[in-house]
Amino acid sequence: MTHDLRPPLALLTLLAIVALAGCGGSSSNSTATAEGAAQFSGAEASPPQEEAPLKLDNYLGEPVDLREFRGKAVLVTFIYTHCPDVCPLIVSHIKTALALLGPKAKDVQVVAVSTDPRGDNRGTVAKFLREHGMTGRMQYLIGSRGELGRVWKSWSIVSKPARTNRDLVEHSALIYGIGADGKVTTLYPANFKPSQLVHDVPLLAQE
Amino acid sequence: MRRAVYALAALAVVGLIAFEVATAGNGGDTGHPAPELPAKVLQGPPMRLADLRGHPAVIDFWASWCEPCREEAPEIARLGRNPGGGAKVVGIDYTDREDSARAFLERYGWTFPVLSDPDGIYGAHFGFSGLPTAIVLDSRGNVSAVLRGPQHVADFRQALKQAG
Repeated sequence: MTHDLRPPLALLTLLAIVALAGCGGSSSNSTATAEGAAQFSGAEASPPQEEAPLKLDNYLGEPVDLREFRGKAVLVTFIYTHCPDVCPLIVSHIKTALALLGPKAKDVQVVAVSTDPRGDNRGTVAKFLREHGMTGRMQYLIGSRGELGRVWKSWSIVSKPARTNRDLVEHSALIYGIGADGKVTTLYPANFKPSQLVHDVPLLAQE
Repeated sequence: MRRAVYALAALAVVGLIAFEVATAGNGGDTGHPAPELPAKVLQGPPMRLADLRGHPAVIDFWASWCEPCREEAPEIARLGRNPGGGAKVVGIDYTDREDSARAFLERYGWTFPVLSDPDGIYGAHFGFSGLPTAIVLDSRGNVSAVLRGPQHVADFRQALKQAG
């Protein structure tokens, strides 16, 4: 696993965010750049970027490598279990999207990476997933500060204790949409709508 | 150079957070008929969209795990006890556990009808992106206003008055 920042992904993040701000966060944002290209509802990478390495253990202690999900759409997000606002909303909207996708939900793998090595452990993650009805429906990866820090860096994620309350974590709250080919193709802000994922997951699964 | 790019990305993330806060205000998609309400009841009588017609109404989406919803809860409890002008108040619990939701209702003393949307499907039809979100309907069942984030009882009353 590289410890270096991967500039293409960082740049992708930046470009996607700029695209989002420019479009006003509408659910109908489409930024395809080539004629005939798939029209995504999320902000689209142009061109799609190879996913950064992501190998960690899940909360059950099982090793997970992002590459094992090639052939499916993958949604990668960065959250923590006692997050009071954004993280449970992200997971709830993903849960809604899976319900709306119905049988097509089998074509997507949801992966959450912890942004809190101190507070996220087997017990807290199991409780979080149970409370949000997502046990067995998503991967939740945890690790030491060093292990997670390397992943945050390669995915351009900022995570640090909040200045006002050291129990809280300030972190990038984004959802990366990865195509079946393993390329980061779309990006969603924390205030995405489930309908955006319902629209984009089948397209990502065909990439 | 790599550090510079990283710093730029970090700043962009901060920019995104500011952007989200800026879009947390009220307004938005109005003037169209509201989607149907969930049939599952958490508290009070079943409540369908047709039951709300003839009066302005507030449909408040919330969840027990949502901290801003806890902030708003005492305000909407007050509104529910005395909405004024024949208005109706309905809560819809979004993607929640039933036991957690019932504990929330008891804690904040909500007395108005509350429905349950455990898979979030009805919430998705309403098209909101954050919680709490209150949808204000006019007497014909059309969306008159969308109130995003925690509101005070005066905000609800003003929106109901404007919905008329």
